[in-house]
Amino acid sequence: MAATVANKNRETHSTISRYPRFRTPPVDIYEDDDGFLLQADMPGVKKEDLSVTVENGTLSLTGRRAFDSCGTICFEEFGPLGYRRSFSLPQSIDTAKVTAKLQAGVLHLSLPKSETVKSRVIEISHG
Amino acid sequence: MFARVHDFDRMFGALDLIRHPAGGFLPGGIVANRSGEPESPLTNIYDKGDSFEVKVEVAGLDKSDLAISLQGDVLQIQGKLVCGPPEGFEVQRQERKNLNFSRQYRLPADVNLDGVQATLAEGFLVVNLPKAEAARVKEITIN
Repeated sequence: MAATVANKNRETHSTISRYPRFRTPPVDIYEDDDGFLLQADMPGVKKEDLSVTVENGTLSLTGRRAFDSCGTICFEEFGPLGYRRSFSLPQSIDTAKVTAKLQAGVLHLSLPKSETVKSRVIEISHG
Repeated sequence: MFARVHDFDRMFGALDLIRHPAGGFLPGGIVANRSGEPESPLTNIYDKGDSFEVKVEVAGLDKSDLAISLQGDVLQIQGKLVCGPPEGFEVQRQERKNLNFSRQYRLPADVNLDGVQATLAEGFLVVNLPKAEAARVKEITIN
């Protein structure tokens, strides 16, 4: 019993196992007639450490935040972290026009719908 | 069976108490609002020798959404964030949460109130608090 407590104790003190290595960032998705807007919380990630890719209809967000521990730890609740999340994109999105912006630790993605899927009235001819 | 569950619970409760060993700064050192509420932002506090650095995870918050105050050795950080669709958009998925938090930290030593600085970058609030003269390490030469 005592040994278990000691082991557990060591585990909680080691920096490696104390924090999750990856986090699934919380995401908001909003839609209007012209496209989608995606917002993901990724605090600490710099522009160069973030990749947004669209491949085979899958949008992947991958980010990593570096961690500089400066000085002696008085109290610590977070550590280095990777962010991972992916979504299947609807066919309607024009992947060439996707834009991304990183602001205050939040990734803002704009996913416009392609012209071909915007509603259009088709005339029916008499045969 | 339930008695055993209770035993486990007690054991882990005890572990929680010893989780932050550095400098006697136990979770009890935090004055208020750490009842496991998720809206309480994650924080690291470092002792940099001449100053303390408090780093708080506040993604999406703007300068105007935050209020920082310091009274004696208690630092209080308040923040508010309302998430929602911009004008004309409808919600497809809403996972980010509205924030309304107030968290207090008791610093391990007195600080110099005049020299406190705060910056906001990449979703982190960093507060730098220089230690009061009396709390600094002073080397003493032996005669």
